[in-house]
Amino acid sequence: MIDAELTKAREALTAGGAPLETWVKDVTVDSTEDVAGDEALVIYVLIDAVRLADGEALSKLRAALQERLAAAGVRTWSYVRFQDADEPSAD
Amino acid sequence: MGLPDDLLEQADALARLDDKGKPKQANIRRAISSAYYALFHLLIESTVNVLLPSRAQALRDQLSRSFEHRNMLQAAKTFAGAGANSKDPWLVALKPATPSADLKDVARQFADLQEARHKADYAVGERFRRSFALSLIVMTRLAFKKWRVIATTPEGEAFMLALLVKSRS
Repeated sequence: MIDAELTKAREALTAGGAPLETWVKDVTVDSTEDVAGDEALVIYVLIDAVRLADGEALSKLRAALQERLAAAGVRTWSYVRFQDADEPSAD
Repeated sequence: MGLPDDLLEQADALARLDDKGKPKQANIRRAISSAYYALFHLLIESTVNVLLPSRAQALRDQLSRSFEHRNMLQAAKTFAGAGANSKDPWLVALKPATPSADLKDVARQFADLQEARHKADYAVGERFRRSFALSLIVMTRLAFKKWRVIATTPEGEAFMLALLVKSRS
């Protein structure tokens, strides 16, 4: 089930869909088991650092991502993580 | 300022420590956790204010302790989502037919924060970037602003009830 949802989500957000905001540099989707023990998706969104201070822009983008997933028929709950595209890895 | 605002301020300060170099994971993890508890306590404080207007402290303390994280997450997911993804008829019945975008955003922020806080507190192998913590904090600040408007509306009251009352499913 989660594999099919993951595929749908990736297609909706990363492959061939309408482009997102210009300040979005990359989007990847993974699966997880969340705190409630439910299967869920995690959407990693790499953005320009300047947008990190703009809560309204981030909030609108998160809503747009969710709408796109719903339109693609994705029913699994998804969490969104915004990160600076130029920040070195924490490893 | 009250506890919720102080916790959010603390989250921001922790996320900005070690500004010149690589941030310590302990600071980023605690920043994420503080951001979650900021919104957690704001929602509880609002609910207690509505249900116990006399402000009797002992009753307020008891009521504050009766909220459960998991129950609150299920409520947030139901109010933020399309509705069909909730397994709980009680929550679905409480959810307004057309929740405002601001209420959905507050609910979604709560869910994102709780998941992040859980990973930050327990997933020792996971690494967290400073920018992730900062994005959570700026969005939580916005959620505070939105919630303070919504809290006195019927949809805000429905959300508070959903956060408090244990699922019957």
